[in-house]
Amino acid sequence: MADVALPPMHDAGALDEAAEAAPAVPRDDMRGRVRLVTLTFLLVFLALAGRLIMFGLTPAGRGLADDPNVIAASARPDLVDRNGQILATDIKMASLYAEPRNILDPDEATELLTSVLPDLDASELRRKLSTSAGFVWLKREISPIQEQQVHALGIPGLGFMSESRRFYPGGSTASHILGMVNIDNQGIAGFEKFVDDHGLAALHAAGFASTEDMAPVALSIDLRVQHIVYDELTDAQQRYHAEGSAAVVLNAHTGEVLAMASLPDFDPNNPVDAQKKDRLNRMTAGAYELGSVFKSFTFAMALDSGAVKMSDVFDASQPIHVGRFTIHDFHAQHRPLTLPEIFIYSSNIGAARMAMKAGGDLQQQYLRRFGLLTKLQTDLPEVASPILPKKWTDLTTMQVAFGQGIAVTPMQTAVADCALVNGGWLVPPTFEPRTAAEAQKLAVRVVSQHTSDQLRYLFRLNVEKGSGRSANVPGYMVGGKTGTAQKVDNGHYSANKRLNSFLAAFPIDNPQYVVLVMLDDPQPEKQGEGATAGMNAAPVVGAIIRRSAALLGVEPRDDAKLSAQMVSD
Amino acid sequence: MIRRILNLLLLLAMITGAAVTYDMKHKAELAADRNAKLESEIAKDKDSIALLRAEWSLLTQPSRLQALVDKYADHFQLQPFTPAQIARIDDIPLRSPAAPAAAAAAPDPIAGLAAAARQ
Repeated sequence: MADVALPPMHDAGALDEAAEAAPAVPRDDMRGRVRLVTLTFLLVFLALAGRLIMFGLTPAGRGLADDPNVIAASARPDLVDRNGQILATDIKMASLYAEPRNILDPDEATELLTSVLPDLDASELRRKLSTSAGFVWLKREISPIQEQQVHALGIPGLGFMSESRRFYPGGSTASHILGMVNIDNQGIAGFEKFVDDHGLAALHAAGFASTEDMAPVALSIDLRVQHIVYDELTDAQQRYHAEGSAAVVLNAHTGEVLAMASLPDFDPNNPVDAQKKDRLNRMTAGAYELGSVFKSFTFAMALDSGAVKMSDVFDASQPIHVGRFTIHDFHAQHRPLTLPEIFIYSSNIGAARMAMKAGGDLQQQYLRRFGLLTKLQTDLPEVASPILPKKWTDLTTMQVAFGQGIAVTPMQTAVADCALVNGGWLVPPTFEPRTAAEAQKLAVRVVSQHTSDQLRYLFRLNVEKGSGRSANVPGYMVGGKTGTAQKVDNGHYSANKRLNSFLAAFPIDNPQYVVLVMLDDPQPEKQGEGATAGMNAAPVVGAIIRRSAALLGVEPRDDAKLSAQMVSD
Repeated sequence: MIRRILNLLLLLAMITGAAVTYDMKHKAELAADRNAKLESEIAKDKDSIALLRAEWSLLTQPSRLQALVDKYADHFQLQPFTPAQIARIDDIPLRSPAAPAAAAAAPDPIAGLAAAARQ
């Protein structure tokens, strides 16, 4: 149609001719300008199109950082026990806030809110909402159900922020193992700190840590055994009015810690007490003179070095006087004693004489080998160094022989005891799962198999006939050594302040687990009774073994038959 | 003539093209919305799974179970087992031929307790 309407002179050829005819604008120049304009427009449109395609291809960003309602607390991996039971986990909690400036009717809002959150103070709430502030917290950490209910009220000017919070379902059950986190969810004590120190902190710094892709970290702890230990210790603490107490269950072959507790403790969910002086982890962070428990190491040293034979007899009829110092026996027999007798009567005199026969150098050499003179290496950050005598005199040798004058952590002695009963292999303790093969690579031989066998016999004898009778559990062949140490009070050994411990292994014919219980200054259960380790620490060990042996997979067997077998071996 | 048809065809093609592109874009937007919604639902579900797991471990805490056992020990006549009660399956003697009749006749004490509790 258009073609028809146009006059013939308006065709392209005519135009060209007209342009050619006009001399003011040269033909070539105009073409160049047209090209330039075309090119410019083309480029602009290409750029626009390219940008549009770019927008179309990039998906809308939606990450944690883009969501203003999530406070980016650093996420932590779950901690689980060896059976996968949760020990610590992150949960998201909503916190309710208000923008009072945007609230239309503070009275109505107050009334509605208190109907859902009855623990909010109405007058306080009304006052908060009546201001013209831009932001005010109403309630931190409300439950998801409450969040839903508040949401359903539909009050304008209210909002939620979700916060990650560390939660320990067991409360204080494993407080000293797990440790705790600070308000920013960073580990500041115990295993939580260990996790941070081994990579998590770096991950956080790089901004990669989110809850979803972090695998849970398994501990060697068995929550059921941990509960039993904690429960028995709590009972003992009350029954004997002890100042403090601690217990540990170790796998004798792998060095795994199955359970560990120390009282008094704290609740990691609300660790207000954690910094108090008496809340230290007595198992690893306290050094104590453990007393007669140390005789086990004196025996191991004397027998393994060959300085003393099982058939030897030592005179324990008279106390030993060294300078102003006198070494007595608590259960004095006033006669020469054989080695097993020294062990079961826990004769200080006998142990001192044995150590003297072996010599102080050998004693130090062996104690160092057992790891008792150096700081224990383990996963927990709270570890104390042993307190050693300044000079190693003959008196020192005699005192150390029965556990005086040297303070070590209870954990160290339990670990060394594992080596005495498991055939002579010292394995560093761990709070992470470890297989027997892995343990074998780390193991160091400290005493011979024969010495270990002899010690197992002595441990069993002590439970059958000696001071450890109340630790016996029929079927589980408990063997162990008591320790009733005098506490140092004002620079002197106190006559009535004690530190009691019982170091046991079971089943003693092939020990699987080592249990150590320590009670700090326990009182007699009834007035007038004694308060030696055999009367309080030993029964606690017995109770722990009775309740946990089946859970640990130790099969009960006929004691009498096995005892006979051990003696004949 | 041919030119006019060509123009018409091109116009038609352009309109169709625009319509198809619009439709595609719209569908893509819907899909993206759905995706975002599902993602937020997944995140929410993950959170509630974490919460439920925490609650489960709270409810199965040995200390709580022990308290419950202590509370109902009388009612269900519960007692801690002794090592003597643990045995291997091989230790259990084979059932004698006369036993089934006796077992059927005797009322099951546990079932009786359970029935009593239900009432």
